[in-house]
Amino acid sequence: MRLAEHIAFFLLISFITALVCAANRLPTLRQILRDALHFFFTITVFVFAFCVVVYVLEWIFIRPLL
Amino acid sequence: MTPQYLLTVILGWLVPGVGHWILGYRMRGALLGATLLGTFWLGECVLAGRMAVTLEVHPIFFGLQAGNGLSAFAANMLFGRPAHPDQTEVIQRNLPEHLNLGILFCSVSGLLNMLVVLQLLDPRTWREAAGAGRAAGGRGPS
Repeated sequence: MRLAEHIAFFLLISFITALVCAANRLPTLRQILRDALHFFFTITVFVFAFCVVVYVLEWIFIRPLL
Repeated sequence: MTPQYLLTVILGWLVPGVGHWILGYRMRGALLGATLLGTFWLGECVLAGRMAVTLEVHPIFFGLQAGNGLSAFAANMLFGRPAHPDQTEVIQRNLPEHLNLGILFCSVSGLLNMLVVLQLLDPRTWREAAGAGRAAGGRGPS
């Protein structure tokens, strides 16, 4: 539960960062939200994919040694 | 550097979103203000139990949190006293559960407001605002 809470708060701060960066550049609310969501999901998907790769590598190379 | 330019930049630091509001970007100013102030006070009051902002205990994080302007100094003045006299030497065992997240939220909102202030410092922002006929008075950096 604590890990899930931490992940949720990190996702929240990531979205806030994307939102503020978009609001700094773009003129309309619709563009800001679209850009922020696009950036946020791109980063989240990328990080999740990276985690999957690390997890698979751990199972291949580290677990057999334990 | 005109007085209006300096005043806008300083007010934009002191209260997030006000700089954009003065330039005529009302919606963006309101959004930035609500987001940054909401993030800061969420971190300070909800997550960290009013222990996230304290110059005396963690001055480096306070340097980052100072980007929020008045909110950081107000939080430090109101809640920034160490909980115990020797907090800098003795490890406290009854800290709020999400103290680290609270400090993170306050620091990130401070850094993001610095990003907003950098955009206010950019003459191109003023030219764009003047071109759209937004800024009241319209006198930018030069």
